[in-house]
Amino acid sequence: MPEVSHEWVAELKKGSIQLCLLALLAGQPKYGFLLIKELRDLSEGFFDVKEGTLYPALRRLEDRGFVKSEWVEREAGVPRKYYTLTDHGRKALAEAKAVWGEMAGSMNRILRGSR
Amino acid sequence: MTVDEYLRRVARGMAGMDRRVRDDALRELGSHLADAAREQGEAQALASAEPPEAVAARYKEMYGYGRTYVAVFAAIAAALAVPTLPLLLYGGEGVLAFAATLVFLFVLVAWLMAVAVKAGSTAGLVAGAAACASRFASLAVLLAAGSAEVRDANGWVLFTVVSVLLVAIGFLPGRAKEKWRRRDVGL
Repeated sequence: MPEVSHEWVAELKKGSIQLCLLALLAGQPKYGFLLIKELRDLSEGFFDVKEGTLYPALRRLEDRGFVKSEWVEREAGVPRKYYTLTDHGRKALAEAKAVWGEMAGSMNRILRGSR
Repeated sequence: MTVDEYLRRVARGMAGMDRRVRDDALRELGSHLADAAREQGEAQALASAEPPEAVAARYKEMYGYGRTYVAVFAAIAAALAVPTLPLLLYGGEGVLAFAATLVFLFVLVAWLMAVAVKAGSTAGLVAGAAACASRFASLAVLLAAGSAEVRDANGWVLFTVVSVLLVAIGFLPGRAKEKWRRRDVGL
């Protein structure tokens, strides 16, 4: 049985999911199902996000003005809602990446000392 | 369970939310499940999805009740506030009038707290403000009709303090709950 609590791991994931979403949307507009797959594949299964977590997180980003969404009709299949990073979101992503880099560097230095 | 049944259960859990937000969220969930079903099959897509009630609860926690419901909650609070004026119903300062006032005040406070906790601090604040305004409006009507009077400054102070407290009672429990539950901090 792991010593580290499940809640702590869940909190770490929850705290970083919005940054991951902004990063994934930096390239091109994407819809929710694709974002879930990319999160899972790129993280090698670490971020296995459910739809009940993803869509509220995307809506929070939209409420903050970091992303905007648009329904796109398709010739075959149901319409999809695509999310696009806004200029505001791009600035937030840059800032958050800088903070993340600083934290990762600090953590690595501290953890290196614990070996 | 089918995708349609799943979405119906989510919709039931979202009852009372703003219709525009609810319909958009349901449409998006439906789109997601259609993509998942095409790739994994409907049974697997639904098996890996979160329980519909949990999904609905997350949205409801984010958006709360829609304006129509908030208005209904406020209207009920305003109606409950009217009989909290002892003179309005009983026309005197007897024991019955004050006992009735306390009972109605208790009912009103219970309602405001229930709205605040269940529907959030904004809905509670609106309901509390409606109750406060209703008390002043009722008193104004009584004074204008000459069927009531506030005899001294203490009466005005007590009336005003109780009325303003209703706003706080409508706001604070919901706010406390939101602060206590807000564990996820976004960007």
